[in-house]
Amino acid sequence: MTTLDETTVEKQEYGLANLFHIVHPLDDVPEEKLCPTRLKLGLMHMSGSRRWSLIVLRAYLIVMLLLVFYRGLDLAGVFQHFSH
Amino acid sequence: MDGVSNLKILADNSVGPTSSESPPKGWTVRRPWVARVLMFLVVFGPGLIVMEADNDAGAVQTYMQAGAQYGFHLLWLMLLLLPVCYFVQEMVARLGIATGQGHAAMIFQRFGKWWGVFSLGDLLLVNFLTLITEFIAVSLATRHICNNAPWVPYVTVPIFAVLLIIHVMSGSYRRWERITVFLCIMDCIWFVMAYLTHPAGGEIIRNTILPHIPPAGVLPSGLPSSPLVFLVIGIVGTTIAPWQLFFQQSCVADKKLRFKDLNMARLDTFIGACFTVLVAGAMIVVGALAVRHNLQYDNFDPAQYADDIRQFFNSGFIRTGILIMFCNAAVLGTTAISLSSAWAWAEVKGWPHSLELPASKAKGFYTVYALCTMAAAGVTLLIPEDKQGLVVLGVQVLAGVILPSAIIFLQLLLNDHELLGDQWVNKKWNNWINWIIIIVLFILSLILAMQVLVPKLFPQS
Repeated sequence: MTTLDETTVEKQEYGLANLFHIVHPLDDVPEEKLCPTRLKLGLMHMSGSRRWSLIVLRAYLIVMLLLVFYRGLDLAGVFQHFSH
Repeated sequence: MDGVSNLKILADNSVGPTSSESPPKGWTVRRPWVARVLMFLVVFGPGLIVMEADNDAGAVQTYMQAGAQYGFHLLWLMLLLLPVCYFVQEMVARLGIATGQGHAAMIFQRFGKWWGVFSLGDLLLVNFLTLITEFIAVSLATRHICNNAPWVPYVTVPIFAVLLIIHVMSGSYRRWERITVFLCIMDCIWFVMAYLTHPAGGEIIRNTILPHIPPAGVLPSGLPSSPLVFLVIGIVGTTIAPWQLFFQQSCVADKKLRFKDLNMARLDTFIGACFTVLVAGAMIVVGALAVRHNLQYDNFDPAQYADDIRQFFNSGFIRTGILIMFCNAAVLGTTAISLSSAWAWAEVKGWPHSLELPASKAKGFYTVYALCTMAAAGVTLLIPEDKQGLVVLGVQVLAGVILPSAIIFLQLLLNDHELLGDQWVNKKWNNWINWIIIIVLFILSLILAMQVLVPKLFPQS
């Protein structure tokens, strides 16, 4: 977020007293973002809650995969073959 | 500090010597309220586009079907979904502004290659199938406009695909955004059509405010019927789509929104959410004409519905309006979905990926966009009509897979103190609301997937 000191300096540099200067983001000076590569962060540290969240997600995906597999076998008539 | 505090600071009388340097290109104004409006207008765009593009062809079908089967009785659901849409997309906008990167790139960087490949692969697949449904809508609508001539889709679908590619490849983010915002605002025509159906205003308000089970959807036991349950799940799945998470974050990053733009971006997202929900409500009202005139459909088709209701009006405005707006919805959906795929792929590959770049400087990015669009258009023309339902089923299942995972990653990224610091992470109340949304979406996605994959478990009555 822009601080008081930065905007005062900006105004003094450009002599914009009592005026508001609006700049489109694409025309503005690029900001330094909170980027993992720039901050030299690797993978996220796995706390207990994060680990459990991803375990639940994996379990959900496995269930979905099994359902797709079951539907594929059902459409192929495998279960009707065995019920006869 | 928010935009208003910045304005007050700039208005202070602490002027130094005039500098010879000129400020970045922009607008200089005297009045604070004009400055606020300008600040909003320069930020406005991604929020409205991501929300309104979600009212794509599939959404038109789902909402109009809800109206055709249950009248105004599901309008309350749209009011309930408004805060859900806003909370999810606000997180996406915040993450995009803070990191300046897209969602796919963030998943790769913070969760590793396995989760990154899974998220990207599933996104590309579900997006491709969704694109096919958009072009199917263009095919249906244009055929009905031209009195059901069978050759029409073979002309209109390629033309739409080419125009969509040209629209994006102008080398100007601003030009793309202005045209897309215009297409979004065209959705106001739904309000005109809803008004022309002469709905009972009191009934609309009552059904919007009071949650209840539609009488037509209640079993003798008092429980909601399976078709109602799955239509509700379909509405939820239509209103919060996985590609939206990837699209808005990439769009915000491409537009280079600044930290100080966050509040205006939130306002943009909120306005988009309100507009989308209102348009969806208008679609339900237009569909509700079927109930009043006792029209029944096994497989609801908006284009056929437009023809069927022509007889109830003196002019063909509503018929033509539905068909054209069906196309408009497909166009909006196609441009947003194709861009979300192209941005995600190019971010992960490290290719230049900005709409500000000409095609010569971002070949990979534009090639992915063009390939997605042309391939979907081509498959649409080749796929037999009786197999088109399989595409829709595929979208429902894959969306049910990716949406919960994309939202879980979003939630975990927004609690990443190491990356974002205390200023940008979720507050406690944010987390409470978001985890409730995630759990509900998990359950609904699982039920919908089970209904599609194991239909025997869900009797129709």
